Amino acid sequence: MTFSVGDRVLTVVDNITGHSRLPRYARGRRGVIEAVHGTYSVPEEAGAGVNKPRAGRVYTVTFSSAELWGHPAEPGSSVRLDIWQHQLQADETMPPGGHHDDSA
Amino acid sequence: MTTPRDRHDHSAVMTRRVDRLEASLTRLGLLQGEDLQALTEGFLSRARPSNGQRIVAHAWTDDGFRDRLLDDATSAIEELGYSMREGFQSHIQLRVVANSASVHNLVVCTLCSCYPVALLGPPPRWYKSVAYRSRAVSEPRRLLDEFGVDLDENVEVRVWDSTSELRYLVLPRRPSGTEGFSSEQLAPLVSRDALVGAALAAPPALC
Repeated sequence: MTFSVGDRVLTVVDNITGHSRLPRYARGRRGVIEAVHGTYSVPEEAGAGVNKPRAGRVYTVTFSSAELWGHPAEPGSSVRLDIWQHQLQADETMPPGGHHDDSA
Repeated sequence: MTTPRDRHDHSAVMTRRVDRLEASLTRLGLLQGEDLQALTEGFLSRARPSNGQRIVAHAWTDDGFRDRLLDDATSAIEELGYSMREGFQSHIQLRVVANSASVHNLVVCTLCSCYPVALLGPPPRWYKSVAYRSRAVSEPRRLLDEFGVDLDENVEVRVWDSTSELRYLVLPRRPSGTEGFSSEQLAPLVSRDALVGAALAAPPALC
């Protein structure tokens, strides 16, 4: 599955012991695809010395501060992270109130 | 609690690691003699904050360049003679994000200290601190306030955590009172810190 700008996504929750570019504060969080980039070596493989690491597409994903830190988060702020495709899945859920809190 | 001794020990461990790595690379024939030192010095000799100042000043005075810079910075900076391919990691891409009346951008690397080194040189010391790396994402407004960046509460703060092979550079707002300035006059108004959103471009009176 590939994603497009505006798609709602959910980051994976994993607990790998080696190198990962998905910081813990952004695991299991809901965001929106802000930009679609090229493909780059999967860091979990490249960082572990895998001879020919897979390449994966990278997306910039926007997370509201409330989604990352809970309430009360600083108002009017958001964090964008570059995330590889294998750490994203489509977010099919509808949060309470029927809309996502994407307001920055 | 970290003591000066801990820091010293950490530094000693890192020095030994680097020495071992260098010895291994030499043994494998990947490095010869002073190569490493020469490579590092050659790389950093062209990287300095003034490159970023020049890019910003050019974007302020040339709308076409500004559009190309925001669309594809990796290509646009080549118009000014810069290249992201000069670094040790030739696949690194540059993205420039613009401040406006309603948006302020701040760049951080929470995992380590990713920064457009090939363009700007080494990052400021505070950029690598745990305090900056954690607070930039969890309380950016308070952090910016402490840095003296006075933002209206209606201004949205966008924090960019450099977690992939993209590096971020902030295009600050052009200060008022600079109408008719040339790009050479504008460049000094852009501090190194403004290039990552940790400061605003200075009004001309303060320079």
